Amino acid sequence: MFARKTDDELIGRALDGSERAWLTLVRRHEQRLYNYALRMSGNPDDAMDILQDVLMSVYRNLDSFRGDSKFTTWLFRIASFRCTDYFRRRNWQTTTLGDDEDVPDDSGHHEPEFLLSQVEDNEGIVHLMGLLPPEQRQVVELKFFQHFTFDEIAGQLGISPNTAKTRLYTALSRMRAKSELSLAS
Amino acid sequence: MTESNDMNCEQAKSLLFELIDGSLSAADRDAVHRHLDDCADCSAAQADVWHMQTVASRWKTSRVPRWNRRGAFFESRGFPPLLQIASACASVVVMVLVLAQVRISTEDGFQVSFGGDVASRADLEAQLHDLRQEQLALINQSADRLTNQQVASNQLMFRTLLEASRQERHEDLRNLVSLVQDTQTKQNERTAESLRYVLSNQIEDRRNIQQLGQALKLVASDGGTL
Repeated sequence: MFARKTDDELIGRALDGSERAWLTLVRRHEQRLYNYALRMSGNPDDAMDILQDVLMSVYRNLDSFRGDSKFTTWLFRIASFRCTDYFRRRNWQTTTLGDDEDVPDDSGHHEPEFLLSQVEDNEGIVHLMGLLPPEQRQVVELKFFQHFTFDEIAGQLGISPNTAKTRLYTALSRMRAKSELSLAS
Repeated sequence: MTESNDMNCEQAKSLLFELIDGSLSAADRDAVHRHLDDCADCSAAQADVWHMQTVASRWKTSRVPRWNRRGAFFESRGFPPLLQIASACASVVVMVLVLAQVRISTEDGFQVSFGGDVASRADLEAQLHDLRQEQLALINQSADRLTNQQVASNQLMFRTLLEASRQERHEDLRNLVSLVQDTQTKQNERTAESLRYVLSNQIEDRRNIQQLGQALKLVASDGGTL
């Protein structure tokens, strides 16, 4: 009876000056963006700041959306940029355990799923993501939570698909190593 | 990198997600499985992917806190930077004028004084009193002027009415005189007519009398017989 308007239709109306269309678009995507920001930042206040920052950036650049890709792909490309800028301003490295630490050898002598199996709530997932440097955290987020392909992730982050894959498996290896260190201590 | 069968680690890892999703062809699936059987590193990576997918599926979606969407996008746009700069410059100029106690005056009597001496309360009250008196005088003058105008207007109106009334009376009088004259003329005519009638009758009567007298004379001359 009431057909749900597509993102492209809402964008067209928003560009024609419809506030209602834009707010509908915001309500449709804000929860996904907020949860993305929550996992990336680790706390609700920062997540809310990132959400508003991303949406404001999208609103200002809405006329540059050509429709060549899906709106969500374009949205998360902007979100990735804004998220990187946001944490660069806030000295991102202090929120992680460091990007240059050596990853211990994990040649199959341990049971890596031990810690992962204990991660059952949002707090544990946020802690797990916090073990990663920003570049790896973004790839893990976009692959496991946003379910983008490696080509899409590469386009969003401005890297090659192979680099995206390398970052992902390095991140997984790093999380496993950190969990083993945590378990050992 | 560990080489195993016909597939290397890079190729195997690039297909791990498709393997877990079940979207690989049978040939690729078998090749990846053969590689994983012989490669601990890739086998661990496969386990990592599997466990991370499990962890990700446990995320409970958090609700977005209440926030003023309309206000964020449509109401709090603020002034454009140029206006802000202009406003700041104007404030600075005014502050400088006040601090320097600048006075500006023109030949027309216009005066502006920035940061001048503060007038005392008594001076202000005196100025206020003078202004009040001036206002009262102006009001009285206006009232007098209006009254005089009203009187003059009334006088003019009465004069006009009197003149109109006088003209009407003159007109009536002329009509009356004319009517009387007409009536008198008609009456004179009727009197003249009556007199003419009486005179003609008298002439007729005299003529008859003469005839009668002649007749009588004839009778008398004839012996007294008719």
